Order: sequence, then structure tokens, then C-alpha cells
Amino acid sequence: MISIDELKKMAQLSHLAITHDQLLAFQPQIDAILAHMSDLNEVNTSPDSLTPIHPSPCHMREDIPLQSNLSPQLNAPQWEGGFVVPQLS
Amino acid sequence: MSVIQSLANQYRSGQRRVSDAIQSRLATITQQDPTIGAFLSVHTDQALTQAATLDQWFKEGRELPVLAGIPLAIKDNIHVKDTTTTCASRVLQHFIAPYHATVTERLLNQHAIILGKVNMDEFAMGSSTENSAFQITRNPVDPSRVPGGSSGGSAAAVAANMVVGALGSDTGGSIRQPASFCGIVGFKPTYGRVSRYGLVAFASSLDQIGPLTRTVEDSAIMLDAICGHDPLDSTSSPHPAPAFFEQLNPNVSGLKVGVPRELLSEHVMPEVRDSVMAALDRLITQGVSWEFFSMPSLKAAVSTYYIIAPAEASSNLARFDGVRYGHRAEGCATVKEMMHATRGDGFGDEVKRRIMIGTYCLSSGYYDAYYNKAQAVRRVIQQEFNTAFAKYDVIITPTSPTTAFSIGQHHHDPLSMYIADIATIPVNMAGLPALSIPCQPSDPLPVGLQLIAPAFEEQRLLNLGLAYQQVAGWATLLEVHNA
Repeated sequence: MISIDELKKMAQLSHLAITHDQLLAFQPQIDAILAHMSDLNEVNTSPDSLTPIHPSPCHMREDIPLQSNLSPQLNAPQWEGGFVVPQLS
Repeated sequence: MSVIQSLANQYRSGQRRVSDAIQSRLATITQQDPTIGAFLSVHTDQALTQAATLDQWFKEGRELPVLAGIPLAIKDNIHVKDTTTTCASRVLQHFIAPYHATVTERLLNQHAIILGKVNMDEFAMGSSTENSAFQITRNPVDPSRVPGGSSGGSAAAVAANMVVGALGSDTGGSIRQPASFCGIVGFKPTYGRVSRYGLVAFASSLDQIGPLTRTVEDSAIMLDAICGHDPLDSTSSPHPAPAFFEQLNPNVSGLKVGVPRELLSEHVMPEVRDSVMAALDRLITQGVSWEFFSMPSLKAAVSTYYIIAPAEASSNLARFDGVRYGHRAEGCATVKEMMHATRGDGFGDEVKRRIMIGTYCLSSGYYDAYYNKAQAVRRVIQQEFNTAFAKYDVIITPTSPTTAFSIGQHHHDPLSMYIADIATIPVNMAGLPALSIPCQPSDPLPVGLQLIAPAFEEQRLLNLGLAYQQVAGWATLLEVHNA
């Protein structure tokens, strides 16, 4: 079973503030979901079971940098000539 | 029988004014939406202004596209410039889109009228539209039940006649399953067929925009408007899009259909199985032949999806950090604390759960066992589709193993809701096109029939869908679902 400590670590890595009560609620749910994923092992994915990949019908365009006419200011919650980031204490 | 074309003809003949049609739909929204909860924002003023202009143009005898004056709704994860795009999340509650999504621009170029933005599961994560931060949407066929999700607002708005059509997005069935639950038509195009520029990303290798409509013809008309290459989306296909509506042809005699027996197993509700079997019998009368076949990897499709999609989501949603977009938590001492609090406050439980699962599957100790394995199984699923399409022209399944379930039924057991995506998920895994059409007026709830074709064979699906629509007696279906 996934432990509360492991979930805390995942929340930290995910930059999520999560209460202890939420972790307790998530634990059995995430545990059941991860347990269900064991059925992946029933599928044979050895290299000789896979055929070569066909070329994708979707061709990626050339990666050409374009000048956006949109200012990032339009998205920003706070802007004073640049993104305003709260000062470090 | 195209609802869009019928309305367009009325505008051209002077039988109906665009303003009257729009007023009428707005009145339906005012009357019905307090119960249904489909709309997050209604753009009344813009819609009426646009309608007045179109009335003048029709009066002057201008040649206008078929979508001119047609009332539509847009899922709230697709940008409409200068209006909110909330993704049904507190994190983006006050976010104003600074540009149009390509699909929006294409609809507006055809002078379609966008009546508003519609509800969804937060960031398209869910199958019931119960995960919205703002409201629950109810199924117009039976308001004690969910409309499906995540494009539940789009499906409910169309099914309740608030709009003629709507756009949704489909990452694992989010257009098809709500279409199935609400008794309408939902189309998920081939990955790359429709530009994703301006769609807020959930799982970028799976997401695709598509239409929800009342009829197959309307679906073809909307696809004509939104399909085609877009240089602003690097995954957009250069394949020229055919004129789907013009090429509609219900003569499907000789088509071979495969039915995966795993998707009509004992886990499928008996009434769903009976409806699908009856639909297959009806198709035989149109000269279609069918047989069962096996796709063994389907048993692992749900697990594969619920690793790959959360992994991509944990990366895509990292941008919502309180610095660059939307909501920012107040009163924090450090940047890190602010980011954690912003995301902790801003995201709902389902989004948090999936971000954590994604992070878990991508973390160094588990990457091979989960993420790499899931990618390999995805290849196997694609291979099994390729093998099937060497033998069959179309694959048919139920869209969902159940009819619309009761609100709150899966609240404490997310896994049980995930498992119900079994029939729709494999299509996204392989990037294929699929159409969900109502099977028959199941008593008392609609059942969806899912048609799947090889990549870029949307026309084949539309033709087969049209043939089924005609043989199933569509007028009767619409009456039943309007009741």
C-alpha cells in the first residue's frame, strides 16, 4: 500500500499544498488505482512482440521561432514591467 | 436531416431572422439552464450584435457560409478571445483569453454565433461533469443523472436545445461518452486533424477537439469548418481535409465491421448490450456484415491511459503556479509556499489526485514499471488496431458500458468511474477517429454506439453513421430525447 509519507513526497514534488485529511482520503483511492495498474503486466511487450513503428502520417513542421504579438502581461496575475514574483523572505 | 442546414435555409428564405433564432435560444438557456447547469458564461450582447449584423447581410442578399447565424457553445477549455477560459477551475476563474483558439477563429470566420462557454470536469479530468469547481451539470434526459464528461456542458446544451452544436475536447472519451449519455452525436477526429492551438492542454498526445451535434450531417458541417492544417500547432496534420458534408453517402453496402468481444462482455449493462446487438442487426439490412474478434490488450487500456494521461497532465499543469497565469494565493512568505498554496487552493481533488499519480509514475523509482511499460502497451494497442483494420473497415463497440449514472454515484470511488472509460480510451491511445451516435431510444436512457475507423477515415464513419441514422428512424429518436 502506498504510504502517507510517499503521498506527502508526491505532493511536494507536484508543488501541491495538501492537508493531512486530504492525504488520508486520497490514500485508499490512489492505492486502488495503482493496484489496478498491475494488469499492464499481463500484456506482452517484449521487443519481438512489437512491429517496427510506421512513419507517422503527421509531419512536424520546422521549428521556427516566431515573434508573438501577444504580451505575456495579458496572462499574468501581477505585472510591473515584468512578472511580479513575491519577494523571498 | 441537418438541423444546421434547416436553420440556414430559413435565414436565406427570409422565413426566420437570425436575431429571432438567437433570442429563442437565449430564452431556452434562461428557462432551462438554472436546472441543467450547462453554461459557465453566456455572451448575450455579442451574440445579439452579431445576429443583427447577419440579419442585415441576409437582407442584402449576401452569400454567407452555412454556419452563419448558427448558435453554438464552446467548452470552457477552448479560448474565445476577451472572454473567460476557466477550465472549470478556481485556478483560472478570472483568466481572460488573450487570443482565439484556431477552432474558434474558424467558426467565427464562418459567422457562427457563440452563445457562451460551457461547463466541464476541471481541466477535462472526469467522466461526469461533477468535478467542475463551479457547478454540476445535469443530464437533460433525466436531471437526476450526470450528462457524462468531461464535455458534459457541451452535450447537455445541445441535448436541451440551448444551442444547435457545441465544441468539446476528447482525451479519453470526453466527447463521445457525454454524447452517448445525452442521446446526441459526438465526433472525435483523428489526432492531428483539428488544431489544438488555443485548447488548454491536459494530455497533449491524446487531446483532440471535436463537435457535439444532434445529427450526423451537422457533425460533418462542423468538421468541415474546424478541420485542416494549422501552422500554429506543430502536431496538426498536413493531410488535406475532404469536404465531409458534400461527400456524405449513406450507401455502405459491403462494409465489413469488427466487434471486439471484450467490449460486450458481462461487464456491460444488459440493456446496452441489447441495444448494440439490435443496432448491428439494423446495419445488416444496409448490406453491412459484422463478426466478433478479439483485442486482448483492451484489458490493460484503462491502466495505460491512467498512467500516460496523468503523467502528461502533471507536466502540462505545472504552468499554473500563481506567477504566470490566473489565481495567486495571498499572504505567503516565500515563492515556494505561494506556488504550493496557489495550486493547493486552486485545483480540485480529482486534478490533485491525477497530478500526484502522474508525478508518482514519472518519479525515478517507478518510471520504468509504470510510464515506460504503459508506453509499450500503448504500442501494442495501436498494433492490434492495425491488425483489425487489415480485416475490417470499421470497428463497432458500445460507447460506454453503462447508461448515464446517478449524480454522486462514483463520488468516493474514482477507479469505478475510470474503468467505465474502457471503450473510448483505446481510440485516443491509437489516435483514431471515432463517432458516437445514439443506438436507439433506450427506455428510459440513451445508449451510444461507437464507430471507429483507421486514421483520417472520418468520411467512412460519417457515411456509416448517416446510414444508421436513416435506418434507425432519427426523427423518433430526437422526439424521445426532447420529451
